[in-house]
Amino acid sequence: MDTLLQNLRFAFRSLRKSPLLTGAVVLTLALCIGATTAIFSVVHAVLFRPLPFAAPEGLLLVWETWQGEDGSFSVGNWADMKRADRSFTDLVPMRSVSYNLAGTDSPDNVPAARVGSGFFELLGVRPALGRTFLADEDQPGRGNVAILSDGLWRDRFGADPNIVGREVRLDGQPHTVIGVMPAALDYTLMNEQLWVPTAFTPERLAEHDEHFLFVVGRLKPGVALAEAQRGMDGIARWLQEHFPEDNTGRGIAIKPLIGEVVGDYRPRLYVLMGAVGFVLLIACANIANLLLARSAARSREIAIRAAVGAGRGHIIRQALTESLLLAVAGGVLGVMVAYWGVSALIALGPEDVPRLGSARVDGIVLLFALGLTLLSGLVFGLAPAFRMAGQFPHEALKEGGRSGAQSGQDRLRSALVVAEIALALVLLTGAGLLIRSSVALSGTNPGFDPRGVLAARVSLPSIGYESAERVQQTFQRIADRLAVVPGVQSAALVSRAPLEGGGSNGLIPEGRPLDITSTINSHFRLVTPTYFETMRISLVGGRTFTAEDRGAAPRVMVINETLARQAFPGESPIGKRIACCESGPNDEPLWKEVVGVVNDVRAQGLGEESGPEFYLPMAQAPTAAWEWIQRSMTVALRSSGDPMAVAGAARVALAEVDPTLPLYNIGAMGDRVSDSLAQSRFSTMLLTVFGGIALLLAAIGVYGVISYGVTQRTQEIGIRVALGAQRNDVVGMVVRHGALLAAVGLLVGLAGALALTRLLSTLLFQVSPTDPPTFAAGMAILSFVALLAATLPALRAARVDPVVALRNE
Amino acid sequence: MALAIDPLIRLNGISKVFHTEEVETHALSAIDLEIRAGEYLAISGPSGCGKTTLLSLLGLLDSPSEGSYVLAGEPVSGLSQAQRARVRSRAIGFIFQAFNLIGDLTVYQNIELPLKYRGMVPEERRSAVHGALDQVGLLHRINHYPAQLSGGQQQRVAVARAVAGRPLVVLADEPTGNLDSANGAQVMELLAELNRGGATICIVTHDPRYLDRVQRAVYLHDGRLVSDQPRDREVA
Repeated sequence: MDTLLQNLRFAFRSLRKSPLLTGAVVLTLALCIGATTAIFSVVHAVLFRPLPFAAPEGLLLVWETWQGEDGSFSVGNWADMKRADRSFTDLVPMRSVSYNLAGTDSPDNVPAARVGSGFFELLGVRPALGRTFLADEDQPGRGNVAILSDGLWRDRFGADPNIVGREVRLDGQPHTVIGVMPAALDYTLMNEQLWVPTAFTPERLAEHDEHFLFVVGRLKPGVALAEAQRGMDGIARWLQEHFPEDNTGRGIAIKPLIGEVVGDYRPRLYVLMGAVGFVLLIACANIANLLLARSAARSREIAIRAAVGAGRGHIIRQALTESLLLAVAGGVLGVMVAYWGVSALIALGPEDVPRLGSARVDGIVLLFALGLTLLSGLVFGLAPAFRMAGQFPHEALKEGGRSGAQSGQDRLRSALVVAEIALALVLLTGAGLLIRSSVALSGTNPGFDPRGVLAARVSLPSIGYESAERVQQTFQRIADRLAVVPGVQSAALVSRAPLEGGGSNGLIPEGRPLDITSTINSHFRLVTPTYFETMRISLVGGRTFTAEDRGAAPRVMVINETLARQAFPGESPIGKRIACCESGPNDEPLWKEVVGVVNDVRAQGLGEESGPEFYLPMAQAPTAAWEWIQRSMTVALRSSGDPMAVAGAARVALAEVDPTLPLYNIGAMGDRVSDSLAQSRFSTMLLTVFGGIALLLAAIGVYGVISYGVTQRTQEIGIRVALGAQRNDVVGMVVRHGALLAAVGLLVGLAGALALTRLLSTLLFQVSPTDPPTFAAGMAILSFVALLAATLPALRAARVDPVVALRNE
Repeated sequence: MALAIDPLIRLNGISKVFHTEEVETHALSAIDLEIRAGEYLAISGPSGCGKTTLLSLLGLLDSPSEGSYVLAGEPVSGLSQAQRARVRSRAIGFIFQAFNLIGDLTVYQNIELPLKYRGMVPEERRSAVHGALDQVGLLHRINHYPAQLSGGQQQRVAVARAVAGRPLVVLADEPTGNLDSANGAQVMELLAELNRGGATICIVTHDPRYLDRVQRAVYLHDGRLVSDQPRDREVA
């Protein structure tokens, strides 16, 4: 203990003697450990922090698969699966819905979920207030009960402790609040803010055609994932045999819930974690280099210690104490940087990253920071410590003696710089690829013109809007009323605007067998006739809808170019017929005539290729469609100025149709397009910053090694000048050393980048992970910076006075 | 190596003043010195008398504060740094007390270095290096590194490096200072042999034993040339 204290005291004194070096090292460490810890706290919050459920590893999401993609369940398939299953304790359905919430100060529409009665028991979550659903509340006509999320309870009900038993109106229908869930459940699954029972009718339970359910299950103890999957494969075959018209080609897939919650964000966050780790490694290499130079300068002091009896172990312990003291100082400051960094990441991060808001510097993150600090101290401290202990005291004590370790030390320092350059190249190429990807993404034509368009949702409650006719008429009145709002150039309604997702339907082009094998799964939108004009979606052929496309008129549809190619390859689709969405009284197909083809719209996001898509006129909406879209439509208003300026007038216009209807999710389409790039922009920005820091650190590394080399070689340079070397010869010699380091580093880095940029492939858009121009640019930038960093000491070398050659020390 | 121009070196009124933090140090004052081609000259004197400064001026490593320096008929005291470097690489060979071989280069590469700086073509360089190494008896060590040689061998390599380019004058700064007496005597004999072959040699030494081997000795004291006398040369 005494020795440790003595070592610490000496380390402190020794570091205080070189305040500049100590300050530079501590600051570099603080920034790098801080950044790494901040990114880790986000990774931990989003990916690693257990879901707020009991034994979350046993929870699975169960998907229906169709043409290789995961999709939602039909109610009938779920009910049959639940009956046949032997592997799960329960399989509970969940459906994303939204409700107009009245009974509070400000009526609004809130995202909600309808769930099976065992939902919370399956998750293992107990309510903070009240109780969960009883089995008999999950029955038709008895489901007028609701459970609130903690956020909704606080925001809309002022955290009323007597909320249980109070009545709220959801879509105008009275519901009794029976419980409030704990805060941990907020923003965990589908961002839902309240829950009501599914309460399926017997007719719905026999329905195998419409697919809109998520299913959550928990494996029985002792059942392996593979075994459960085999059971599901058997059930899928049974469903195919018994309901071939709906299930041919469909399978069932089970996946861990946590992976499904954070799946899309995993690669992006891992890339950021890797990148910031690289930056820390580069910083450690730089610090190791600084300490190696310092150990060379202290060789005499070490020799004296060795001469008076200090063993190798003593010297190593002393050197490591100094390194660890530096690391701890950097780590303590780094934690402060991390606190600030986490707040910045939450503020700047995309809003849709699940659980990002819960990121914080907690015990586990502090433990990580401590581990990182000690590891960093060892990484940058070990080489200098062993180097110091390896010096020969008799060499160091000789007057002007040349250390036998000199060239070995140079090699080690050079190797560290080579590693820095290699790591920096990996980061630079990664950042370059993401930048190119971002540029390509933001330059992508979305297929519509978002400028000047306001989008907002309107939902009609089931009570008061029971009939399809009334729903359709109300939406038509809303459309008509909005069209005459002052400032609005064009108004339209659409079931889901671009970037809002939306449902899909199977359709069969005329002439193909009328079975599921001919089905083309295609996104569908109900629109008013002015939709294409409002969104400025171009007509490629035929016509768009008119007011005449209604009721008894021939059924029509407009399709996009992708669907036109898939349904009628090599032919004009205009006038051709497609069956979809509804059947006649004898279950015969109802054909719709393709009257127009419009350009593809990037409906799921700028980065996702357009799929097949079709539009139906709202006035010819199939009766079931209102249930599919839950009587909700998006209002699109094009105006000449700021689109948000017409929001107020639009609210007033809507209130004139029905004062109880809220206009919600109001936003400019331009902002939504921009928001859809937020994830890409965020990771690109962070990786670019990390790449820039890596470049700077690598430049400092090259400068440090070359500059130290010049100092060490002053006499050699003097000799060379005395022997006739010109200024250019000296500059060339020094710069060549830098160039050699850079070249080796670039070669190693190139191999590393080729291997590692593949990990970015899921984040790239229209750019290959081995894009030659990006690699070339990364190498060119790094070469230029390395040569520049080497040129400064080279110019100093060129000024060496040849008279030093005559000096004997 | 001897040149028809006589004297080969002429210094007139050479002074060297060093300025450090408002202190002026007169290292050399009013030195007049002529060295004939083929001459073997020693500069001696006590420590701090200005011997090394004079050698650095003779070797164009530094320029005088005052006075003129004519080398082989050409005035060189006002040359730029780059011009001095060019003249050095062609006309002057250096031998240093601490050998000053470059540790990372082989014996061959060390001797070749000034020839490269001079711009000599590779074939000529190879021939000159081999010739010089043969002259100092170390041809068998051509691919060794300095650290693999004894001190005496290192200094013989340094002599080879100094003479390989057949310079007008060889300047040696205490060439035996880091050697034991046997190796020191060997190196001095080598220099005498070179001089007998016609080389102009100027050495700085304070070892009286070696003054007997030169033709002429100049003595410096406090930066002034106080004596300039021919010596009876001892024949080995």
